[in-house]
Order: sequence, then structure tokens, then C-alpha cells
Amino acid sequence: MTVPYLMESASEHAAALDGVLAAIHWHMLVLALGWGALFLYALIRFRRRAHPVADHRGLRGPWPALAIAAVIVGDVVVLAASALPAWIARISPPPPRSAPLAIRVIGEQFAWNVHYPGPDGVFGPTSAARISASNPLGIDRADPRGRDDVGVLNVLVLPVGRTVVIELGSRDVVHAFTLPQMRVKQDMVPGMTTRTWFTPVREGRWEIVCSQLCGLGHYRMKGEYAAVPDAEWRAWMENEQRLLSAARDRP
Amino acid sequence: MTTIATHASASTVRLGMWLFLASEAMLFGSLVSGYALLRAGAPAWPSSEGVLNLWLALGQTLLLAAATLTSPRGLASTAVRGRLLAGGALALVFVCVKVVEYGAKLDANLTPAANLLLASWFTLTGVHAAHVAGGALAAAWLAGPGWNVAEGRRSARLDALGLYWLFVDAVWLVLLVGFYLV
Amino acid sequence: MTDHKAVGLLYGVTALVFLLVGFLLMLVMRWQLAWPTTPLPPAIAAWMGEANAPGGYVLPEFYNQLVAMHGSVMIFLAVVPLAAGAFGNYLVPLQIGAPDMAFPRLNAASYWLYLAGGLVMLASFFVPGGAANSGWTSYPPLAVLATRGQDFWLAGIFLVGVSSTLNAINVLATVVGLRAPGLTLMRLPFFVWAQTITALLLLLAFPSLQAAAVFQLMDRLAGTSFFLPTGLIVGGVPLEGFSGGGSPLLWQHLFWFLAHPEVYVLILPAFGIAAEVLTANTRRPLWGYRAMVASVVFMGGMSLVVWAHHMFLTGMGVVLSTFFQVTTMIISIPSVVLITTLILTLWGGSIRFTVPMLFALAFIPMFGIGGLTGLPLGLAASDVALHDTYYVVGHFHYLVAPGTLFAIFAGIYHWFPKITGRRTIGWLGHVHFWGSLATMNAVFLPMFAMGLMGVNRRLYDAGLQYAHAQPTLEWNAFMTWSAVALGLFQLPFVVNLAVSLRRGVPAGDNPWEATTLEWSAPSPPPHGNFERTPQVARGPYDYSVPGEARDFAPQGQP
Ligand code: HEA
Ligand code: HEA
Ligand code: CUA
Ligand SMILES: [Cu+2]
Repeated sequence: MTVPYLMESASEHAAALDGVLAAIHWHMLVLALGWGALFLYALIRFRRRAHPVADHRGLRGPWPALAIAAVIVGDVVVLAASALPAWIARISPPPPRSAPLAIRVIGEQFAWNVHYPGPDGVFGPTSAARISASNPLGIDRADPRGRDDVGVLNVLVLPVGRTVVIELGSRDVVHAFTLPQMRVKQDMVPGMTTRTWFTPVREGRWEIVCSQLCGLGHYRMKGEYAAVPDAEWRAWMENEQRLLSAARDRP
Repeated sequence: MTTIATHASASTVRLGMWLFLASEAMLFGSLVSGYALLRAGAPAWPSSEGVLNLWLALGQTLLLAAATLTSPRGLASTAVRGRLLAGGALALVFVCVKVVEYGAKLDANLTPAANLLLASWFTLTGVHAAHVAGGALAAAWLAGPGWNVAEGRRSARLDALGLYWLFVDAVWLVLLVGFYLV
Repeated sequence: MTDHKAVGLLYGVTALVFLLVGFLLMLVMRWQLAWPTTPLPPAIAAWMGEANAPGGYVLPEFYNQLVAMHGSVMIFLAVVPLAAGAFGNYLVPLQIGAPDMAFPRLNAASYWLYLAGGLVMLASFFVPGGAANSGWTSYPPLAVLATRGQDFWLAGIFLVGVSSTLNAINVLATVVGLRAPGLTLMRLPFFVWAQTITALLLLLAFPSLQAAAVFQLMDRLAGTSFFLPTGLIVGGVPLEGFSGGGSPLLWQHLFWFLAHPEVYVLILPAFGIAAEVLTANTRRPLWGYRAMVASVVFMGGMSLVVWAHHMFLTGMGVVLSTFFQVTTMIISIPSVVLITTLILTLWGGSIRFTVPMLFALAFIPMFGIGGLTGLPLGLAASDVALHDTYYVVGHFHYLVAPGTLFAIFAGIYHWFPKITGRRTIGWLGHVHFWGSLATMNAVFLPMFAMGLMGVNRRLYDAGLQYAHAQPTLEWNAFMTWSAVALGLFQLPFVVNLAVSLRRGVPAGDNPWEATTLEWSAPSPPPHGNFERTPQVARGPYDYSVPGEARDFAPQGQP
């Protein structure tokens, strides 16, 4: 049972998180209905006309204490059985299956700098001095590790079915990297590296969202991301490599 | 018949001071833990060698201690007024020394912007010095316009001021240890 | 002007004006959310000025000012001063049978510091670059890099903090030291307990925001780097003149260490008011008084150790995130106890649906909705989908607007006869109540759906850029019209108070036949409050005691 209105999901772990959301909403619903019914019933039954003389003692018996105890049990069950395990799995490293795809995303007002390590799987060094329109990440192309690195702005292409580990950072203020359909939301704090990982399980094209007020352009700090079949992702990466070598050959 | 007790009793004044100090403890607690967290989290912390002067700080400690010792507790004679003023004056000397020290640091280009050590030092000792100045003002007020109140009330106020000085001293010791000794 | 009643009234009137300011800021903001590409109506546009809304088009930087200032004004200048400043100052001495606060002059000083802080904050709209625009949370580095208005915000917060501290010391010293003979702690009206814990929280939590404000001011004015890490590159250019090495998260910890307890400062006085109004209008004692007292005390203590549930997505480790999730669930239990006891107080009563009672009753389910929707936010796993969305905005507005504001309205109607000696006009009160109830829900209920659909808060264009927000765009017009109607439904309230002040039916000392001590003072109470110091011989809520001639026994009656 998913919660009504909840946005679609497309990652492997989304079911666990949405399950927590559903569980806690069931818990809330029971409380709202139970307490709401009691409230309305009391209002009607004990209105002045129906009950002209108040009873000093009021309700006696174990029911209130039992109800509170039931709420506590409900909280404990949701926490222990659903919420804590789901979250601990989320912030622990990904299970060691196939080699995960590493990506780095650096936020800045108001753009997403996406850095793929390229076929060698190693990130090349970056520096502020090299940042330019054609090299938004400031990758050192002279360094062998940086030659094949792909740096793109506001575009993230992911292979379906492969675990992705994203390292996050920020150049200026706090942003929050959000892939709503992947149930990924993680602050990017300047001076710190944060990490998130997930496995897309469904194809689609969606938008990257910024979830932390980051200035006047916060509302338009948007990117695009796509989850595509693995073959298509490889083709995309090869094409990026061709573009890179074309740029290198240009005098 | 209206019976208006317009004045808080002596024990209420003391309670008020304890509550105020609880709040102040949270203030300095936050400032000091901010300093401690930044320092603990820093890959390299700037050395205070040649930047902060331990001897000067010890001298300032003596000034504060003297200000505290002169502060009268519960005495009722007129000598009290003199001691109040003396304590206030010593506290003022402390503040002046601090101001001169700040000026010298700034002249030597050791500004709060230079590094986190100086930033924390200026900020924490600055807030502390403001408290010392506040204590001096309070002493002057007690010896002056605030003098002519009932005996019990006055002694409660003197007690409160004494407590305040002890608190200010305690904070200073924490700063002394935090900046000069560890 | 040191009498606690005068100070309380000054607080109340000033805070109501700030409430109006917060409301007007919100209306401009809501216009922009409903019609993001349409200019403001010419009259309003002229008022906002060319710098903020050229040609009537609200600029994004101005929208951010509106949001930050709406939140700050509402919390720091309107609702807390109403709930703690006005109600606390006016009623605490009366309810404990004291002639005044323990330190009347400090009390007056606390009011003037609050006013000064508020004016400093508002003045920032007129400095170059306008008011603070980094959210009411003022996260650095954004807030450190922000325009001049942020300095005013910080200075204002600092002053408001000093004011709160003085006020808190006063309330605590008064409750401890000036209770009438016979008024033991367990005979205190619940309202006084709520105000006491509120004061304790203000006393202990506000200093941490003041410390943070000092750090941030130093960063902005003296060039320090408490909150600025090394190597910032702003607008493509490395930031010069800062040593770096600081930590943006340090601010978040210091801020939320205050701001979480602050939300209990917003809600506890509301519970206090609801308890007084409910007992007088059900003619029954509070059900489970002891459990309620234990709950507020426990809640107060716990509220100091849950703050990082606002920071689940900053990259906390397993231990810390587990700790804060567990404490957050624990702190929700005393709230459940409080709301349950309020509902059970109705059980066996003889309920009078007076205007204050209607507001106090509505407070219960509104708090219920707001509180329950806090639970999914308190679990990190479900917070992922909801953090920074309108779900959060819906959550807290249910608590502060139809929650605390309704309790405040209940309190105003309930104690107006005590303050002025006159009754308010019933039918105007009913219009105010039913209109506000309907429109409040119309504004805030859709926010939960928006949040689940993934629409973020603090978006200048309400999500126009995003595909997933498209279906919700048109809801905003309905919500904005509801907010306008909500404002119009406050007119009967204002008219009611204004007319009743002069022409209301004289109320006598105890129009509700209530038991607590303030009702045995004259209406309005004179300087010094009581003709002779009350002797308390019984608990606060001796309603419908079997065998008594009347259905209430005032606390001062032997
Ligand atoms: C008055 C103010 C107030 C109160 C009382 C609360 C109470 C609670 N809050 Fe809320 N909160 C805010 C004001 C408040 N909050 C604000 C202002 C923010 C946003 C700040 C910002 O980012 O700008 C916020 C944000 C916020 C977050 C961060 C969300 C995010 O940014 O992602 C979290 C997370 O844990 C949270 C949790 C809770 C919890 C668990 C409670 C619990 O204490 C609630 C317990 C109550 C219950 C469980 C209700 C029980 C009721 C019943 C059983 C009866 C039902 C009855 C009927 C229907 C008749 N709150
Ligand atoms: C106590 C706090 C409080 C209160 C009462 C309110 C009340 C309201 N708020 Fe506010 N709000 C916040 C605190 C509060 N808010 C905070 C903290 C934020 C987050 C800011 C941020 O992101 O940084 C926020 C954000 C916020 C947003 C989100 C903006 C965004 O994220 O982009 C919206 C959107 O609709 C909104 C709407 C409203 C509405 C419609 C009301 C209504 O309920 C208003 C009701 C008020 C009235 C109807 C006024 C009645 C006036 C009188 C009775 C006075 C009469 C007096 C005289 C004549 C002297 N608020
Ligand atoms: Cu980046 Cu908001
Ligand atoms: Cu909180």
C-alpha cells in the first residue's frame, strides 16, 4: 500500500522507504480516527443539553493508559521493524555486488556539475583555476587520470540496474541533491563530502531538484537525469569519449 | 486595603541571579563548544605561540580575582560602597587592558579574520569582556542610584553581584585553559 | 508602565500588530505562489517598490525576503510574544495570587528590548538589498554571503533573545517566589505549569542562538570564518579575504538547539490556555492533571535532545541518526498524553459551546493533524521523500496557525472580560471561528498532498519549472484565495474587540464562573491585583464537586 499522492518511484531501495512512509501513515490514521471518534462522540454526548450536570470524577478505568501504551507499542514497532533498519541500510555502504558506478556531483549557485571518472574509473584532479565554460569542473586534462573524465552540467545519465555511488560536494552554499523518483535526497555541504548510493530499476527521464534554499536562483536550480538501459549508457559514454578526443585534437 | 509588595524579597533576587547565570552558562557553553568543535574538527590548528600572551592573561586573571575579592558580600557598613567602587574600577582596568591588547593585536595584523584561533579568541574573550564591563556598570549603579533601598534588599543585590563575579571568573578560567593551556 | 498587566497588554497589542505584518508579508508571497507570472495588483506593486517588484513582478530575491521575514516575524515577533509575553505576563501573577511580577522593571525592559529587536528586524526592509533573505533558518554560508539585511536580522534576534531571557527569569522567579499562601505546586493551574516550562526552555535554549548570532555577525562584519569552510568559490571566483576552516553545520546545530525547543515554546502556552478554557466550559476538572504536569516537564527536558531531526539529510552516521530518531519518537508520547487528557476532560462534562470554547476545541484536532504529520518527518527513512517539501510546511502550520493561533484566540475571548470588564459579542465570535476554521484548513490541507507529490518549499515560482509540480500549480490560487478570506474573517474579531471594549455588556468579576484565582480579582484588576492576598485551600479545578451548592468552588474559597 503506498500513500496516496506519493510521487512515483524508480529505484531499488524506494520500496523500503515508501514502506516506512506507509507504515507510519497507517499508524497516524488509526490514531486520528480513534481519537477523532472519541472527541466527536464526547462533544455530542456531553453537550450541555444532553448532560446538564457535569460529573466531577469523569472517566475511570485502565483504558486511557492502555491506549497510550498501544501508541507506544505502535511507535516501537514502526521504529524497530521498519524505520531504523531501512535507514541504516540506506546510510551503510552499498552491498558488494557488481562494481558500482562512481560519480561526483558538485553543486554551485545554481547548477549541478556532474563528474564521471571515465573508463579508467579514476577521478582526475580538479582545481578552481581551470574552471571555464568548456571545463565547468576544472578537470586537469593533462593528467592521465583526468584525460578520460567526463564533466557535464546539469545532466546525469545512469544505467538501469547498476548501483551508482555519488559523492556530493558544494562550491559555495548548502544545496541538496535530489532525485525525487530515486528517493534520493542528500545535502551538499561545502567543505564536506557526503555520499549517497542507489540502483535505478526503471527507465525514465526526470529532473534533478535542489532541496535547500541556496539563493535567488534556488527555484531554477534544475537538472535532468535519465535512467537508460546499460547498452545505451555505454553508447553515451563512448560518445562522450569521442567528443573529448575531438576536443583534444583541435589545436 | 491594597497591599502591594512592590519589591521582590531577598531570596527572589538571589534566585533571579541564579536563573540569569544558568542562561549565561548556556551562552558561554555554546560559544565554548563551538570553539571546541571547530578546533577538534580542524585538520591543522594554528599555533598560539607568539600570538597569545600567557603572562598578560595571567595578569588579567589577577585583576579579575582582585575585583571579585573586593566585592562585598552581605556587609552593611559604608565601607561597602568603597569596596563596590574599587571592584568596579578593577574590572574597568581589566576591560581597558583588554582593549589595549586587542588594539595591539590588530596593529600587528593579527586580526579575527586571520585564522580560526584568533577569530575564536577575539569573539569569546570579547563577549567575556563585555560581561566584565557589565559587572563594572552594575557595581557603579549599586553604589550610586541603587544604594538607597532597604537593608535586606541591598544585601541581596550585593550577594547577587558577588555571584556574578564568581561566574565571570569561572568563565575566564575556562577561556584561560581553552586558549592558553591546551 | 511596570505593572505586569500593562506590560502584558503592551506585549499583546504589539504582537498582534506584528501578526498582521506577518500576515501581509504572507499575502504577497501567496500571490506570487498562485500567479507566478502575473504582476502584483498596481496598488500593492507601488507599495512594494520598483527595487523589489519592478513593474509589479516580484523578484526572486524579494520572494526570499518575504519567506524569511514571514517566518521570523511570525515566530519571534508575533506568536511567541503573544503566547509567552502577553499571556504569561498578564496571567501568571493573577493566577498565582501575586500582586505583580518578581522584577517589574526588568519586565518592562524585556518588553522594550522586544520592541527594539522587532523594529530593527523590520527596518531591514529599507536597507540596500532589503531584508534577510536566507530563510528563517539563516543557514550559512548563504546567510554569511547575504545582503546587509542579514545583519539586522541577527541584531534583532539577539535583542529578542535578551528580552526572552529577562522575561523567562521573571516568570520563573515569580512562580517560585510569589505564590499565594496555600498554593502548592500541585495546586497550580495547568496554564502556570505550561508557562513555567516555556520560560525554562527560553532561558536555556535561546542563548545558543545568541551565541550562533554572535558567530555569524563576526563572520559577516569582522571577516572571521566560523561557518565558512576552506576553498569556497562563489560565482566562479574564489572567495577572498576569509581564512576558511569553519563549519556550516556548526550553525545548524546551534540554531536547531534553540529552534526545536522554540516550537514547544509555541505549543505549551497553547496547551495551557486550552486547559483553562476547557475546564471552565465543561464544568469538570482536568482529567489527569498529574499526568499532564509530568508530561510537560518531561517534554521540556526531552526537547533539548531532539534537535538534529531537522538535519537527517546532512550526512549523519548510524549512531547519531538512530539516537535522534528514537528521541523524536519518545518526545511525541507526552504530546499524545496531553491531547488525550484534553479529550478525556470532555468526558462526563456539561459542555458549553462558547466562542472561546469553540477555538479551544478546534485546537485539539488541529494540533492532532499537525502533530501526527510530525511523525513521518521524525523517521529519517520517510523524511527523505518529505524533507524540504510542502509536507513540512503543512506539518508546522497546523501546529502554529490553527493550533497555537486558535488557542490564542480562545485565550483572548476567554480573558477579555477579565481584562476589560466587558463581554465580547457572541455572533461576531462565531463568524470569526467558523470562517477561520474553514479557511485555515483550505490553505494548509492541500500542502500535504503537494509535499507527497514532491513539491518543494521556498520555491519562488511554486514549482513552475518542474514537471512533477505541474498538477499542483493551480491549487495555489485556491489556497491563496482562502488565505485572503482567512484575513477577511479576522475583521469580525477586530471589530468585536474594538466595539466590546467600549460598549460590551459588563461582565462582572467572574462571568464564566471559573475557579482559578484571577477570577476572584476585580475586572479589570487594579494595580496590585487583589484586595487582599488570597489564601488558597484547594486545587485549581474544583468544578461540580458533589455536595456543593454551586458547580464551582474558587481556589480562594476555604
Ligand atoms: C508548534 C510547533 C511544533 C510542534 C509542536 C512540533 C511537533 C513535532 N515536530 Fe515539528 N516542526 C515545526 C514545528 C513544530 N513541530 C516547525 C516550525 C518545523 C519546520 C522548521 C523549518 O524547517 O522551517 C518543524 C519540522 C519538523 C521536522 C523536520 C522536518 C524536515 O525538515 O524534514 C521534524 C522531524 O522530525 C518534526 C517532527 C516533529 C514531531 C515528531 C513533533 C511531535 O512533538 C508531535 C507529537 C504530536 C502527536 C504525535 C499528535 C498526537 C495526537 C493525537 C494522538 C490525537 C489526534 C486527535 C485528533 C485527530 C482529534 N518537525
Ligand atoms: C508561528 C508561526 C507562523 C504562523 C502563525 C504562520 C501563519 C501562516 N503562514 Fe507561515 N511560515 C512560518 C511560520 C508561521 N506562519 C515559517 C517559520 C515559515 C517558513 C519560513 C522559511 O521557509 O524560512 C512559513 C512559511 C510559509 C509558507 C511557505 C512559503 C515557502 O516555502 O515558499 C506559506 C505558504 O503558503 C505560509 C503561509 C501562512 C499562512 C497562510 C498563515 C496564516 O495562518 C496566517 C494567519 C494569520 C492571520 C489571519 C492574521 C490575523 C491578524 C490579526 C488577528 C491581527 C489583527 C490585529 C490588528 C488589526 C492590530 N507560511
Ligand atoms: Cu541549490 Cu537550492
Ligand atoms: Cu524539531
